[in-house]
Formats: sequence, structure tokens, C-alpha cells
Amino acid sequence: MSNHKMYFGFSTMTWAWVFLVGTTLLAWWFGFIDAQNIHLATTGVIIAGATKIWIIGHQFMELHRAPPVLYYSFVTWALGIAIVLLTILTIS
Amino acid sequence: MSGTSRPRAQVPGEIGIWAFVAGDLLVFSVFFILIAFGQKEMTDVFSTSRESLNLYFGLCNTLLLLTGSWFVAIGVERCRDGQGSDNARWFKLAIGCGLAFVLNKIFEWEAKIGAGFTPLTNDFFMYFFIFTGIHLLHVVVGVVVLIFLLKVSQRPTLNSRDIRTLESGGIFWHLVDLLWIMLFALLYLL
Repeated sequence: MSNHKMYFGFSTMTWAWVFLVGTTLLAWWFGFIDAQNIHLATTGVIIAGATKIWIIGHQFMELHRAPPVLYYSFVTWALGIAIVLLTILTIS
Repeated sequence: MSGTSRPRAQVPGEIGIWAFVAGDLLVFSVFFILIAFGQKEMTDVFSTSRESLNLYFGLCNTLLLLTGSWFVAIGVERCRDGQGSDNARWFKLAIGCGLAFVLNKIFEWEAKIGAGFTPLTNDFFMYFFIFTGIHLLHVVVGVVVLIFLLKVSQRPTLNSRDIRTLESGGIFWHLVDLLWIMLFALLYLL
């Protein structure tokens, strides 16, 4: 039995890839923000990275169908590393 | 009584691959934190050194790994669902992405070393070469895994053990991808 879900003619895997590429370009744009907005740029880059990591885990690694303990352990790590990195990078 | 029921939660792949993923994530977390502390303590050195990196190499590598992951995810899903007649092509495409990443990384390192930047230049380049080097080893192992998955996908029938093998190998490749995402952010974009 197929597990494919299609949205506007594309599978969820394809949409995940589109979103990942888009978020990559967004993070790249954050890297061009000037020095006066350095904290905004840093926050944008790290949050974009953590979001992409979550999409890869949720969709490509198929954690969306995993037992909650596995799924939420992964989410906790992604969130935790983003918070730790942001704390180090933005708090003087 | 309702006839609908939620699909039972199932661990993708083998439990062992998740133990490896957990260990690798912890190790790379230390790497990420070291880069962040370096950025904070030696901001000028890191910012100046980062300007020497070619962002397009990093962006290209990111897109290669994301696309490779997409191909692997499709390949595993199609093999599991029994859809499509040539599911092996997805793994061939992913292998292509992996090999392109390796070549791109070699070109990038060659350019950096030719310009006089080595792991001994400063802390930024020490982290750059060592951490991207360790990641590159993961990519090389990942390509070998993908070649094995290609062979599995070409079997005339796939049993549940084959599917778990495909899922586990796919999970390793996706791990390689997600580790690069944070390395790219910390080394190229900050």
C-alpha cells in the first residue's frame, strides 16, 4: 500500500527538498546582513539551520512515524543545540 | 465504533543506527560549540578568516547533500512501497551527489592550501580543516553505504530485512547531510 501523499502534484519528500533549498537560500541571505544587525543575522542563520535539521529528521529520516520518545529526543537535540549556540554567539 | 486507526509507531531502520546517530550528534555538538566559542572569543580572526572561504563552494556542497538526501528518501520510499520499476536509479543519483561533494571539497581544500591557509594558520582554519575533514570521512563512508544500498535495491524481491537495511543506510546518509547543515552555517555564514 502506498504511503505517498501528494500536494499540488508533488510528494511530501519533494516539498521537503524545496523547503530545504529555500531555507538554505534564506540563511545565505542572512549572512549578507551588515554588521549593525549582526545578532539578527546570527539568529537567522542558526534558526534556519535548526529548521532544516528538523525537516531532515521529520521527513527524510521518517521520524514522523517513529515512537514519540525517538522523535522528541531528536527535536530536543535540534532545539537544544540551537539554543546553546545562540546563547554563546549572541550574549556578551 | 470507528473503523479508523492510527498506524502503529515504528522505528525507521534498525535501533543500532539510531544509537550511532545519537553518538555522532553528541560528538558534532562539541565541534559546533567549539566553533561558536571561537567565534565569540576571537571574533576578528574568525570573521577575517571566514572572508577567505569561498561561499559558493559551501553553498554548492549544501545543495548537493540536500539533493542527495532527497534522492535517497525517494529511493527508500519507492522500494518499501514496491512502486516504480527502476528504484536503483535514485541511489545512483545520490551516489553522484556524494562523489560531486567529495570532488568539490578537494578543489576547495586545494585552493585554500594553495593560498597559504592550513590547519596551523589559526584556530578558525584548524577547526575548518579538521571538522570538515571528519565530515568528509563520513561522506566517503556514506557513498560506500549508498553503493551497498544500490545493490540491495536491485534485488528482484525485497523482504522486510532488506527494507530495514535500506532505511538504516538512508538514515546514515541523512545524518551526514544534517551535520553539514550546521557546519556550513557556523563556518561559512556567520
